[in-house]
Amino acid sequence: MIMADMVKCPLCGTMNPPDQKTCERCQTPLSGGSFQTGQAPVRKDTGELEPILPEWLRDARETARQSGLDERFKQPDQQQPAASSADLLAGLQSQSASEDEEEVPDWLASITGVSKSKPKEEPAEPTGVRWVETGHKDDFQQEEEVPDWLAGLQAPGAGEEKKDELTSGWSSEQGSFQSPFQSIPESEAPFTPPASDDTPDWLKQMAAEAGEVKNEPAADSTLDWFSQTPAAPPSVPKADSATPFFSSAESAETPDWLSQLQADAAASSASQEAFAAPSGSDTPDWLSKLQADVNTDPQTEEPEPESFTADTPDWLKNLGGTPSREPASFVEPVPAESEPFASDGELPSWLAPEESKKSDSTPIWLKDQSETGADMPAWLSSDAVAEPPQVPQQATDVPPIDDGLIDMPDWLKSVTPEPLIFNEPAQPAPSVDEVPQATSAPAFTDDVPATDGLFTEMPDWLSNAIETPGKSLPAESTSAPDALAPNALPDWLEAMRPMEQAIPGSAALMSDQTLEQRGGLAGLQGVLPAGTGFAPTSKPKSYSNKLSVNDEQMKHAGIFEQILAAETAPEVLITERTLGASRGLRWALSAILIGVILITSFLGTQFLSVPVGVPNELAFAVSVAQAIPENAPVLVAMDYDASRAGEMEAAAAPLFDNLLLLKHPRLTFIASNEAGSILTERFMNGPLAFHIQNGVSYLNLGYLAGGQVGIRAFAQDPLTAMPLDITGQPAWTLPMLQDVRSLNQFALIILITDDANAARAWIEQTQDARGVVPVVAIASAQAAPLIQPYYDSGQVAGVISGLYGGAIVERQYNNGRPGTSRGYWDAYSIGMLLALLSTLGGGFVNWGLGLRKQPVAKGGK
Amino acid sequence: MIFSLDIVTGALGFLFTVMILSYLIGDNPLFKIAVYLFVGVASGYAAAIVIWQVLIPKLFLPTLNIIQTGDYTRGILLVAPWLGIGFILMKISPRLAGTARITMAYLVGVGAAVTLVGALTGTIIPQVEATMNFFDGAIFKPAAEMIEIAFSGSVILLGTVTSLAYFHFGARQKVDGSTRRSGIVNLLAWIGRIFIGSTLGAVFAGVYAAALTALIERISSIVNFLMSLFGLA
Repeated sequence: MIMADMVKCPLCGTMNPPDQKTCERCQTPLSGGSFQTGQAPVRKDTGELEPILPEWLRDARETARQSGLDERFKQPDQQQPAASSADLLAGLQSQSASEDEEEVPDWLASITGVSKSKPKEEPAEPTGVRWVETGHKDDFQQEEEVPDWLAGLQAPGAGEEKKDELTSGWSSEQGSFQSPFQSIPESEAPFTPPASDDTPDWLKQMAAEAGEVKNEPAADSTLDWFSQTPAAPPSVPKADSATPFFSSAESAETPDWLSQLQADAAASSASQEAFAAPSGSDTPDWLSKLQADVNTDPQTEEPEPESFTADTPDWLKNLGGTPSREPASFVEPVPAESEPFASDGELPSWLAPEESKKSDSTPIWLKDQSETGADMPAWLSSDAVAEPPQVPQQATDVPPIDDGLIDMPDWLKSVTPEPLIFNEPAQPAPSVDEVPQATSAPAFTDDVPATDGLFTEMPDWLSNAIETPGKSLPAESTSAPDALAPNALPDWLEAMRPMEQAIPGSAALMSDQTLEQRGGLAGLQGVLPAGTGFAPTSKPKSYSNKLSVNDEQMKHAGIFEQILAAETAPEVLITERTLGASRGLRWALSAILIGVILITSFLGTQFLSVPVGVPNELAFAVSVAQAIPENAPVLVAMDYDASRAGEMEAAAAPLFDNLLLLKHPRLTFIASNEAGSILTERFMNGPLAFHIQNGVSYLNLGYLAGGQVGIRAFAQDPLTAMPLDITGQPAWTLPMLQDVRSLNQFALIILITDDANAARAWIEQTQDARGVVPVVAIASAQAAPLIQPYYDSGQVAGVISGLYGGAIVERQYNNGRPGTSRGYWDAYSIGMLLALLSTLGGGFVNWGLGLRKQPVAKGGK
Repeated sequence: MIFSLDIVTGALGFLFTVMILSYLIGDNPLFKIAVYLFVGVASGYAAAIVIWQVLIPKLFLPTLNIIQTGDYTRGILLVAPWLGIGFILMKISPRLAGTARITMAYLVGVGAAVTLVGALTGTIIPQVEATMNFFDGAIFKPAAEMIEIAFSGSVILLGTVTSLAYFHFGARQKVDGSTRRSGIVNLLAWIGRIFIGSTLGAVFAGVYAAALTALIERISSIVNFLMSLFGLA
């Protein structure tokens, strides 16, 4: 589908297929709708809209046509006259045409010279209702639905242009609502009955006889309502005088009453002021034209008035009379909720005389004509017209019944023009300029709710009373209390006016043609009546977002903020000053200690004495060792780390030196750690090298795996646990282990360890297997306190504790041999002294500091 | 020039000693190098010892001997260690690591049993007997000796009991809601704290003494090396 063929929705802008009637998105009528957004109202031919009228109104229109008042319902050429009166009667005409189509008497037909109208095709009522509801263009009945005789009466091209029959009257060029009985506008082509066979015969006949009728030129009067509709020729009896509606050739079928009317009309000299031209003529235009046309040949082409165009029906032209130059804006108002035309005797006002003149058989409108003294057609200038019809004050007023029309058929009565028009006193018709403009009226008034007088009651023109003009009309029209003031709108007509005009005080608003900018009604002018209180009168107030606070509130807010800040503020924790690592003190002590050691070592000083006292455990250890037999097997467990090798060698060397010198034991070394075997070699080839050199041998079984389990296994079966030595030789066959097959066959077990756990393990695991074999523990200074209980318990025979014990053994029992302990003793002593002084000094300092902080702490509390 | 091995060892010893003593100025790369070397060498030596003194003579050679001789009856005992080795090596695979639990369970079980029996028979019972028997025979001793024995025994007994009471943490909730031990237990624990503190102090002194001795030994070695190196010995 080509985009060019797409139809753009005027509201939402959505592109729709060309065959789409409504927008797919917003359901807005796309084209050909009743109206487009922003589209200015266009005058439409009310005659084309006749199908949408209620049936009763259509009948009324038709009746009106048939009553011989066709000239009042002339269809404008292509444009709908401003007068809305014709629209009002259009229904009557249509109704009359529809109802009485078949009843058109031949006499009338012969009078008018129009062929008998064809049966009117009754428009479908439901469709009409539907049309009214939807208001869619397509809903309107097409021209083909218009009765032929009526269609023929329509102005050429009138069906091409749609007309809003409700608003066209309000949006007329003149902008004024005119009385339905105003004169025919001059600028608009009067109704011209088509010269086709569709024209009713009576109408034709009327046209033909129109030339015989002398019409007084109605200068300025315009029968708007008459010129609006292609009204069927009203079945008004034709007067003998040149009446516009009746041919001079009165047919034999003319009822007597019609003849009577003609006679009376001829005698009357006053014309209906309701049809008075604005220029001040008392004679209605249509009437004037009738008079003028009497003396003219309907066939002759007279210089048509300006208002008469080629479309003007010939019969109307021949009728003469200068139509009013003012275009009659014909607007078919919304049908009032009045009773339809009934043939029950309730004559419309224009047909029925006033109450005051009930006795008068002359039609009121004819009476007025006679009162004015105008050269009225005879049938119009009836002397019986005595009183002007009263302007109906209310739409409910009972229309005056014209006695003379009592005998009139109902269909004719129903289309009887409003007496108001004819009974209007001789007053100059309001000029075009004086006609109140209805410019402020909105173009579209479909949704205007009907007023009370419009829909609830029969229109006043159907009544005998003529209402006063509309309220919006100037007061000048109230000069005649009984007559319709110039430009005065009857109440029923006033009620049909749009809401904008009916709302009191809303003139300004009604005049508001503000174009709607947004919303669903964008583009329309004056769509929504801005009622009081609804329309924004001023720019919306802008409210500030700032809080209005006073000083006290600000203070409170500040206090609250401080409280919150205090809660979120980090609290500084009061921590004691930690004692950091004093690198200087560490370096000083280290320097002193290393210096002393260096000096003493380098100098080999020995000025500090070795302790004299011998601890018991040491004495027992030495005594047990010295009590073994010579060349006894001695098991030595080497379970210390390499880092403790200096201390352990210094502690163990004196005892081993003493044993080797005195007892020559067969030493068997075993270790429960991996480094024990190598430390054994170090020990035997270091401090005890003298003895090795002298042929002392020893056996190194190596590493005993399994920890306590290995020790227990060795204790239970040494041959199985340790079959080989570190060289891979069977150890238990060597001379060192000769006659030794179990643990209890050793003479002594010497435990050299720097770990209390290792000592405990050996002591515990060998408790059962060793029997009475004594165990001597040579322990490091750090393990000796933990091994002491075993000595106290008797499980260990003796304990030699570190360098202290070695020094004592070396001095006391080994005559200072090897001398390693003695060489370390001065440095060891000084070092221990430094440690003692440092410990005591630091304690005292700490104690003093604590004492100084106590008063401060107590003061703080 | 023949470099004596002693000179090399002496020089390395001196070097590593200085590197270890450099910790006085703080942690430094020299100290770490020395430590890493020590750990590495120690681990390597330990591995060598295990292989040469345990696995080969006690597992591989007997197995080989059994295979060579065909005396598989004696090889039955070797099945367990071989299985143990196999199960332990299963820890390499995360999927099969569960099988190592068998060996570990056996080792832990046996070790716990041995340790328990040894602690029981080698420490607890003898220590208890010794504590009880400390006063045994004191009555038959002279007065001075008896007093000394009595006093020593009392101190020992008091230290033992109080030290054990210090590690008693059973308490009851009081009426005021607080949880406290009984008064007697608190008193004994307080006394035991003294003995425990004294013991720890003695141990600390021993540790210091041992370390000092090691330092003296090291420095003496360096001095002797330098003196021998420079011919001042």
